[in-house]
Amino acid sequence: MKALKILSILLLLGGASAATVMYSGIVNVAADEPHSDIVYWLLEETREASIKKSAQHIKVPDLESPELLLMGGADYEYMCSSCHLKPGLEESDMSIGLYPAPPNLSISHETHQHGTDEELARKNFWVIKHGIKASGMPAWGKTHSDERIWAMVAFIKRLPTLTPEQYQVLTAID
Amino acid sequence: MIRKCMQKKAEKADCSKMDDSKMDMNDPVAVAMMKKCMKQSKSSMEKMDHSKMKGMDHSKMKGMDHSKMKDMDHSKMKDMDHSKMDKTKDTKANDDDHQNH
Repeated sequence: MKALKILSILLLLGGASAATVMYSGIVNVAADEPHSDIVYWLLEETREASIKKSAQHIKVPDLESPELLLMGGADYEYMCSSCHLKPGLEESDMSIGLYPAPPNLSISHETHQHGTDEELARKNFWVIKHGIKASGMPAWGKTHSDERIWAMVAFIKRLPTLTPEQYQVLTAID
Repeated sequence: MIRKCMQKKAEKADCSKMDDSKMDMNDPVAVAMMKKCMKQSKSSMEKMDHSKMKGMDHSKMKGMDHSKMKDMDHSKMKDMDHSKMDKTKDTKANDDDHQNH
C-alpha cells in the first residue's frame, strides 16, 4: 500500500514536470539549431531501430530491370531530388534547411548507411512508403503504389553510380 | 512547398552524348538509356509532317551516268508481251502505205 502510494506520487511528479517542460516553451524546436550530441544520438538510434524492425519482413523483388529504372528515375527527379539531391547537385534549399538533413542519395551508400543491399532495399522501401514522423519525409505510399515505390528503390540503388548525363537521360520525361 | 518542387519543366532526354561503343549491354542502366533514346527517336520520326515536305527538284539532279551502269541481265527479264505494245510510228507508217495502194 505504501509502495503504491509512493509510485503514484512519483508518477504525478513526473507528469507535472513533463507538462511544465512542454508548456514553458523552453524546448527549442528550431530546425536551424541542432540537437545536442546525446539527444541526436538517442533520436537517430531510436529511428533506425524502429525502421529495421518494421521493415524486416519485407520481400525485395528483382531490382535489376531497366523498366524499373526508367519508372523510378522520373519519380525520383520530380519527387525526391530537391531534398535528396542528384549527380551534379551538391546542395539545395531543402537539403540545407531541413533538420535532420535529408541524406544525399547521390553519393555512395557506405557514407551514411550500413547493411547488405537487401537490408538497404527493405529499409528504403519502408521509409519511402511510410515516411518518418516530424522529419519532412512524406509517406509516399498514400499516393503511390508499391510498384512505383520499388521502382524508386531500384533507382536509388543505382543513383550513386550515375554520371549527370546518365541521370538526365534516365529521368527525362517522354 | 512539395507542390512547388514538383512543378518542374519536363525535359527530353539528351541522347547526343550517349556512346553505344562504351556501353555494357548487360548493365540495366545502359539498357534503360538505350530504350529511352530509341523511344524518343521513334516518337520524333512519327511526328514528322510529310505533307509539308517539298517535292523533288529534278533540275538539280545530275544526269544518269550510263558508264557506271551494270550490264543488263536479260536472263532475268520476263518475256515481252507484244500484245500489249502500241504500234511504233514506223509500223503505223507502213500500214498506211499498204492501205493507200
